Amino acid sequence: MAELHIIGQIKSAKNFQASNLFCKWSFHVGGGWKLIDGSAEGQTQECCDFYTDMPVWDHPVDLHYTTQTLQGSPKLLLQIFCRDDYGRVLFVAYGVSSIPLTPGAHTVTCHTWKPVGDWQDRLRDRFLGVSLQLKSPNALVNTEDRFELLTQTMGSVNIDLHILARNFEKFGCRL
Amino acid sequence: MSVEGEFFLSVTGSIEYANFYDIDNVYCKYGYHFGPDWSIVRGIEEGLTQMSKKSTDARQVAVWNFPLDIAFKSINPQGWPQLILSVYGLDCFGHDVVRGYGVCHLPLATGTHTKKVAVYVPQSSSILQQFIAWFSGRRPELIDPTILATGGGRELTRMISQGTITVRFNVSMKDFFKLGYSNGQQADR
Repeated sequence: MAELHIIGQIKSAKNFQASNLFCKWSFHVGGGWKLIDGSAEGQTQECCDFYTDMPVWDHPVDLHYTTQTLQGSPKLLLQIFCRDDYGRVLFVAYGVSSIPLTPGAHTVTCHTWKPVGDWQDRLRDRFLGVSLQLKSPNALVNTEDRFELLTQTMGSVNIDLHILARNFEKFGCRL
Repeated sequence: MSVEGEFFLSVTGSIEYANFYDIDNVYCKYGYHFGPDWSIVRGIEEGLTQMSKKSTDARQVAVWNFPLDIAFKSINPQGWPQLILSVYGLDCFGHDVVRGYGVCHLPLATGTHTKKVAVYVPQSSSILQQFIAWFSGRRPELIDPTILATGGGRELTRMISQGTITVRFNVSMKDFFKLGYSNGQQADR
């Protein structure tokens, strides 16, 4: 069995309009992959940055997978939320990023977006802060068509990962 | 001295300096957090730096120049050691208050690495508490900063960014490549 370690941090957010941001994250893998140790989902701290507008999360990620296949390699799903001036938790954006498999240090920038609806939904978003959300965000990690979806660009999330691989050469795989 | 299946990680380096946006004097407490498979072979597990005043030039840095020197051993990269930094300092009333926390993984590759570790401080939950905290010097603190490294329970905290700490690491590893791990570097044959 080939082993893959994903060790790193979900570091920070950039270019979001809201200030008090936090993020729910989860790793998704296909059938041939098995999580040996580590938690594949979690939630970061809530952070605001008055000085540079790059809220820091620095949330540790430490995962150990074994696999028999390269199909269905890990993907990271991010759901960004914010706390507004009235203390409400509001949805901000989605982001999906596939994890690089090449051993070594990687800085992944995950660009995010949110769904927008018709003019009534947009009014509600503008004045009440209630954004449209997907019923099943986990479907985003599949490469299904999103043709019917209209979205708006949001900020980006910086992720620092170091990948360690073991025994992939034995099966003739070069990552 | 090496046992089959074990590898060693030796880290030297220093906590170089802090770069805070509006804080004048600071000292730093550091510690390591690592998984159950890891243990310390040699070195000091935690320590305290001196109190440093910010430079008056344009750099605005508080230099600690504090050496780190530690060696770990493990059978599994899972639970790779993390450096936890807690920064304290004196406020304008002379109270010893918390100035921030930061966490970073030790580098997973050999060689020299310089890391900028972001530092953030817990936020009071209301403006009144914020004022009381400022006035009395009893600011919100983490009881156990290791929650920063484990990730569990962090969703309950609200933080404000305070600045960065620059840390330099020199990393060497023993038997890591022999166990078949690849970290993006070529193993010496």
